[in-house]
Amino acid sequence: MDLLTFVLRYLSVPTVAILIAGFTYKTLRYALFARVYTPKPEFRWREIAIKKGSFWDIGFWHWIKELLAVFLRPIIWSVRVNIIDFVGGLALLHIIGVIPILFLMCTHVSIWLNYLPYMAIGPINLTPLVELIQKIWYFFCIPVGFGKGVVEVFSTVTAHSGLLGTIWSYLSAIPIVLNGDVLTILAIAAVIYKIIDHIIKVSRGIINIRPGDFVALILLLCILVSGFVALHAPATLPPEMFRTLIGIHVLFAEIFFMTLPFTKFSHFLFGYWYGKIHELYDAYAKRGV
Amino acid sequence: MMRLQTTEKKYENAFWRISKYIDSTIIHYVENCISCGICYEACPAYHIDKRYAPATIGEWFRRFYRRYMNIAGRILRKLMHAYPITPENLAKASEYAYRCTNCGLCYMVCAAGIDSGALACLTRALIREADHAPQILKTLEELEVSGKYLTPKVEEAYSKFIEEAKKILGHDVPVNDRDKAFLIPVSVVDILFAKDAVIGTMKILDKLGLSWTIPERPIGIRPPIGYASGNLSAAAGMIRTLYAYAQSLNVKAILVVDCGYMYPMLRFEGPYIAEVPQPCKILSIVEVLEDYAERGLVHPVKSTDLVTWHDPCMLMRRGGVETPKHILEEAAILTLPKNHGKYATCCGGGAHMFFLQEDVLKKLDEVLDTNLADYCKKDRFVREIAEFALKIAEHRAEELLNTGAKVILTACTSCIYMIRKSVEHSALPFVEVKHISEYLAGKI
Ligand code: SF4
Ligand code: SF4
Repeated sequence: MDLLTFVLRYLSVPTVAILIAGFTYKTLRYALFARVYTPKPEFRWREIAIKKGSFWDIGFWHWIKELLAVFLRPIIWSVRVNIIDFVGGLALLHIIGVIPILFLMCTHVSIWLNYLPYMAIGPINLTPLVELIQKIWYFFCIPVGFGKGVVEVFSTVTAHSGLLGTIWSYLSAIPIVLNGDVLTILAIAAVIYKIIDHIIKVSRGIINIRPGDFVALILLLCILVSGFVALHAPATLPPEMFRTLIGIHVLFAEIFFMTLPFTKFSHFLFGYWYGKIHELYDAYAKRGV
Repeated sequence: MMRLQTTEKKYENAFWRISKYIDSTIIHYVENCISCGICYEACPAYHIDKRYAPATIGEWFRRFYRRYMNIAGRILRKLMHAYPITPENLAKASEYAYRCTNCGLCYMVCAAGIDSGALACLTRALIREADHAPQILKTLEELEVSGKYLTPKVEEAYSKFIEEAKKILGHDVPVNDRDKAFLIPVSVVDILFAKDAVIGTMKILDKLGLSWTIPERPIGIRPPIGYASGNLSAAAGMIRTLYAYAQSLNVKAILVVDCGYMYPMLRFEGPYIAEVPQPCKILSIVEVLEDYAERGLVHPVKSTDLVTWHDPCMLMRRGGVETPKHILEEAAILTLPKNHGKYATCCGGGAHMFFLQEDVLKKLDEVLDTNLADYCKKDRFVREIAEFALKIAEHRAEELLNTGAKVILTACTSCIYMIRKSVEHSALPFVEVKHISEYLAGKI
């Protein structure tokens, strides 16, 4: 049994199990520590509503605006005060880098669809909705590199390789700029920027950066680099070697997901959303800020 | 060895005692900082010394929390930066916690909605519980809670204040009157540092035809000091006393003139920490004035003064009271500083840093029969923190002076003190720093 078979066949289930267990533990803690406070102060949004007539007078759209504001405020602030960090930390790492690579690069899309049983490709009964989701997802698939097919490792990938049937078949000029290769390079640059930034901060006496943060960033870097290397392996490489390269990439990814609930990367699954919704409740609804 | 273990247990117990304040929101603040650094530039402390930023200010509490309440922290102590509570670590934690003015700007801009100011408050609570808080704050808090602040000299100063108010207003000052519209909770700090603001407020209320009353004695030193010293039970006690007093007088609202901690404490935190409902409305004089101006019920005499407004953190970000643009634009020519409203910079006096200033303490010593100012000479830590707060104030004063205004208006005693002190030190032309009530009293 080679590494790729091992990580796909034997490690994937424990990975998902540990990931779920970790998040269950975290979420349960929140539930256990949640408190319903009575009495409460008079919330200010009510005052505003009374002043203006009713809740609907301040308007549903007002709430939507405030909801957007809590999400946009840090981004606007970051652009205003530290544009380098905005580009390196937020734009390259999140918006251009990791998120589209993880969810839209065609190789990964196939993996996601494999992992989610109801979306599995094959002659199982797909409900029209799942079929639609699948179609849309494939439509936005990002090719690995311009003019490249997708490496034939997973049978499912082959069926959906290339640019045919995706948005890129209509916008053929874009993949030259926007493809998996470019995105990966940008994401690698962003992770290296973050590591250097952390080193500088530690050297300046900033105390909140922990060894664990470096481990998590290095792990992310390993995933990106191993994926990039695997997809650019020369065609002459023996298939076993190639499978090992992909196996290393998947192994790193699985370690990443196993440790996810305990690293700072967990923010995109829980902390970020909880924080922003709480901010809307505390700062806007309660205090009226 | 045995003794060492007992000491550690003692400190650990202090942690468990304050753990009652840890709820799911605090867990979020503790566990979800991603070290993105977005909040750094927002923090007034960071502008003075790059080691102090919101994420680092909250870090010591996180370290203790990991040590006692986090499984990964208990196992992988080094990797997770999980630290035990020891006198040395508490001293280090103080260095950070007392740099925070609880201004709340980091909360406004944090990528994950984390209020590092709240973590600084919890760190202070832990430091206080472990009996390591600065003696000045501890003494003030104890005097306030025990009622021992009511010395003969304080009583005398209060009588003089009432006499002066009577002369200016031209009628008797209503003391302890029932069924009035407003109770003005006058404190020792009010009569020593903000007399004109309180009398100005009384004058404005008279002109607006609103009834009011004041307590027969000052209602505390500047309640609730416990919140800043870290004794949240003491703060809760003071809030309960104030609520009960307002209820006994059957007033429609408590009208806060000095924002300090009093406004957000009574208006928002009170019911949570004191566990009693609010007896009536809690208002700031700023929102009353602005509301009257917005509704066209007040028309101050317009002057040609170029004025600027400093939004006190406790009113704006912690209290949701907006910049009083309507009233100020009616009364003068208003120019706002670069950072205003939600993004206003802190004056450095927050979290009762004001009480660590030597001349403030000298004035308090005169009436409280204490020797608190001596700590400024004796205690290096207090001196350092006081100087640090003044540097923050200088930074804010510069922003306000850059507007070119001749009058700086605000609504908080510590803001006025800190900004005035910085303006006096600055090489720029002298400008006046006043409370909005003091400024508008003669114009309405
Ligand atoms: S509350 Fe203000 S002073 Fe405290 S950490 Fe946040 S920005 Fe800094
Ligand atoms: S902005 Fe929020 S998440 Fe980012 S470093 Fe500051 S406290 Fe942490």
